[in-house]
Formats: sequence, structure tokens, C-alpha cells
Amino acid sequence: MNSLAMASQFFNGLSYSSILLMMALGLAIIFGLMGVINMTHGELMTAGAYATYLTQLSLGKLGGAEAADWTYLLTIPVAFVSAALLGLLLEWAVVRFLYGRPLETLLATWGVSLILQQAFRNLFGSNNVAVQTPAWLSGGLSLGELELPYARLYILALVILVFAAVLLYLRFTRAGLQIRAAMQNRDTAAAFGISPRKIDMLTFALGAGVAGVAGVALSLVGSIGPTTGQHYIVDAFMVVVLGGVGNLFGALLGAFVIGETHSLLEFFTSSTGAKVAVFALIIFVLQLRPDGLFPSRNRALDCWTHRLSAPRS
Amino acid sequence: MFPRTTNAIIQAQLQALGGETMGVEYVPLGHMEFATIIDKIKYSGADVVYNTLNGSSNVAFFKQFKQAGLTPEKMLIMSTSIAEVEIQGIGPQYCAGHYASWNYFMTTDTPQNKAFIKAYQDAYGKDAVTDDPIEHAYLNVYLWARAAEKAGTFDPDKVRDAASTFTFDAPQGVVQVSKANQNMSQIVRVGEIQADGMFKEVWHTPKPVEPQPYSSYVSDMMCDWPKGGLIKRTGS
Repeated sequence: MNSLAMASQFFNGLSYSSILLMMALGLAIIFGLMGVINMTHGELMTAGAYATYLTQLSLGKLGGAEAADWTYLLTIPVAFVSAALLGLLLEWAVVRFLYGRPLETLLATWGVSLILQQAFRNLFGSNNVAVQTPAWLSGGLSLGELELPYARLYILALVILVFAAVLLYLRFTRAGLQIRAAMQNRDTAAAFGISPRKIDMLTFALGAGVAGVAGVALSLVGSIGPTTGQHYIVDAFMVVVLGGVGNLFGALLGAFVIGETHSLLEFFTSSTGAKVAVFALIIFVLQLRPDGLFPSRNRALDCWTHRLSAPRS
Repeated sequence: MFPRTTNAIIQAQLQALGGETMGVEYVPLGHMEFATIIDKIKYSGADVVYNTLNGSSNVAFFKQFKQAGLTPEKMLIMSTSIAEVEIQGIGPQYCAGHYASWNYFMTTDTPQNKAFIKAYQDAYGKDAVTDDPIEHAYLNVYLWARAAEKAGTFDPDKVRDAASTFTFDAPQGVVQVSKANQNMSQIVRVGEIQADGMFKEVWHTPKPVEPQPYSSYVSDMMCDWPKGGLIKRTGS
């Protein structure tokens, strides 16, 4: 295998990793910071993707295809907000009754995911819809003989931006500080005057919003249907579990390891062969480090076990 | 199952015609990530891609194919599951210049087809497109109706016997059901996808092709119901 192919495969791995990271980031926030196993994560991504589709459709109707091209960047905030609102609704209607009960949350969110899939079917039809790649994202960057598609570079840039934004938000804003405090010790944070309800809603909305932006990325590489989310949710969970629950840099490393390994192996074997190998790798790593690559040493996770016995007041 | 069986037949036929298979790839249903496979195609030295993907994977494949800088001139894709409806879903700009093979295109020039398209668009809107699966769905119902009329009964055995006794003017051309295996003899067409999402036919078989339930390149068994069902192949 020549070096050109290697370089191209490395880039493909990077691109796949970036998509995985975007999907896993929202999950890492919700699962990691709140201990909520959110099975609707795939549907939140699909919602963001559908929002992208609708935005493009409306802009096209208002101003023609060129207007839709120029304003394509609008899809990002629209997708973020739509998914965040959907996430808020989910949190308010279902999840807030089930904090501290991870198994019930899993079951309940699984049920909601089925409802959402059917809702997508009713609203958009069971056939997939396709988001048109804007003209300025068509084609690619040619580095000698290496061809890097603009669409994938765009996704890479988007992921870096979103990751940085989330990190900066958590590190430097007041709300971010409150989130981290509540994550470390919920009751002490409450004693400091941080409203647990507000923090829960904020964190959930943040995770859901990031999932929505993942939907924007997904819509660029393929078509979107009611069950698109289901296809990716397992990958997203794998990244979070491998990286270590509750750690965003863990998710970054997990996504990179899984993405690159998968792409390089796929070149030598086949798509399904690579998937099997990646699963085996994850199982192997978890044998050595059961809490993931970067386990998060925070009291919130210790409190899980306490919560399982004592219900939330 | 469809891709594996089809690919086995394709590879056998290709070899018989003097071609060489450079690589075969399978993906799970609904798979969307084709960057690696497209890279493999690029570096394999192949001239043509024979695409037996089904469903939404085709959208991802064609999009990413073009995004990777591959054009029909550099690497032609020949597909078995891309029809007018799928092209609308993928976007004609990603498919233009590639080929597909069917028994029927919306552009097929028969008087029955013109009437069929008009009736279809009256029912479903003037932007509706017809394609091979749609045409077959339409055709099969009317074939059965004609056979039942001829048999004078709904009894399945009698209808089946009557079905192979007439030719039928379908939108795709003249078809006939085979007595030996109840499949249809049809003309096979190869078309090039145009920028407007329609097919331009570039070749078709001179006469309708007799149905062959399983390829003679891959198996020496054949199906002939009047002779008792699955029997050893005789002739080609």
C-alpha cells in the first residue's frame, strides 16, 4: 500500500473520527455529566438533520437555490436550537422524574426514541430525504494527488469548533462552572445556591444541541431517514464507553482511536471485518481499563450507587 | 443475499467475457461511510465500478464518490438499483454520466408508455416520475388480469397455465410469461443518466431475453416446471 493511499486513509479515519466525536460529545455531556443513559440521542441527531433539511428547503423557496447555498451556515444554529428544544421537552416530560434511576431512564428514553422515529415517519415520510450539498462545499482540496473533499474538511472544522466551544463554555462561563460543580457533588452545589433543576435542564439542552449539530454533519455525507439515528447510536456509546464516562477529552481520544482503527482496518479487510475488529479492540481495552481510557474521578458517579437505593427528594 | 448471489454471477460472467475482477466489497445495510471503499476503488486500478448497493447507501455512495473527485470519465459506475426515483433522491448532479440497467426507462419510446406516463402523472402530479419497479407493478397486475380473463376463473393453477399463452404490450415493450418458469421474457436496456435525471438508452437487446432462473455461469441446474422442476441443465 503506497504512501498516498496511507495518507488518504489517514484523512478518512480523521473524518470518520470527527463524525464519531460530534455524535459522542452530546452523549458524553448527558451521560457523563448527568448519569442519564439517553437512548434518544440518535433521534436528537436525526432531528438536527431534518432541521437542516427544512432550513435548506425554506431558504430555497424564499430565495432560490443560490440563496440556500449562501446561507447554508444558518443550518448550524437552527439545528442546535431545534435539537436543544426537543431535548428540553424530553427532559421536562420524561427524564426529570427518573434521575438516579439509570435503568428506568434507559427504558423510558428507549420508548421515547421509538415514538420519535414514528413521528419522523409521519412528518417526513418513511423514505429518506437528502440535503443538497451547497456549491461551495462541492469538490475538494487537491494536495498533489491527494484529494480532500471540502465537505469532510467542513465537518472536521465544525467538530473542532463545537468541541472548543463546549470546553470553553464549561471552563470559563458562570453556567459552565455551575455545571461542573453540580457534576462533582450535586447536594453541595445545591447548598451553594445552584438550582439543580436549572442545571439539569441546561446540561441536557446543551448535550441535545450538540447532537443536533452532529445531525448537520450527518446530512452532508448521506441521506436522512427516520431510522438514521439508530444506525449511529451504538457507535456513539462505544466512543463514550471507551473514552471514559464523564470526560470530554476521553471522548476525543476514544473517537480518534475508533475512527482511525476502523478506517485503516477497513482498507485491508472489509467494512464488517473492521467493525468486528474494533469491537474486539474495545473489549480488550476495557479488560485492562474497565472505566475507559480516561476515567472520571468524580463523586457524582459514586453517588449513582447511593441514588439507586435512595430516591431523589 | 441479493448482492452476494448477484456478485457471484457478475464475476463469473465477467471472467467468461475476458474481464478481471479487481475487488469486491460488502457493507451492512444502511451503511453510510464509503470513504475507505472509494479509496480502495481509486487505488485498485479498476476501470468500472459495478454497484449492487440497495437503499439509502446509494445516496451516501454517489455523494461521497463525487466529493472524492471521481467522475464518470475517470471511473464509471454501473448500477442495478438506481432508477428515476432514486436519482431524484440522490440528486441528478451526482448520478449524471453513470449507467444503469433496467427493462424500462421513463424515456422508453412506446405508445403504451406515453399513455402510462400521462395516466400516472394525472394521478400523482406532473412532477411524478415512473421507473422500472413502478412499471412492473402496473404491468404485473394487468398480466394477471388478462390471464384470469383467458382462464375464465381465479383458480391459481388455471390462471398460471393461461398466463404463458399470450404476449402483452407493456409500457416497456412486448413481454411474455415463460411456461417453464413463470418469469417474463423482456428486453434488457442499458441507459446513461442525464443531467435532468432521466435515462438515455445507449443499448438494448435486439429481442426479448428468455428468463433464466439461475445463471448458467454459476450452476448447472435449471428450472423447468413442465419437466418436473429442478433438473440438470441441457443446452446453454
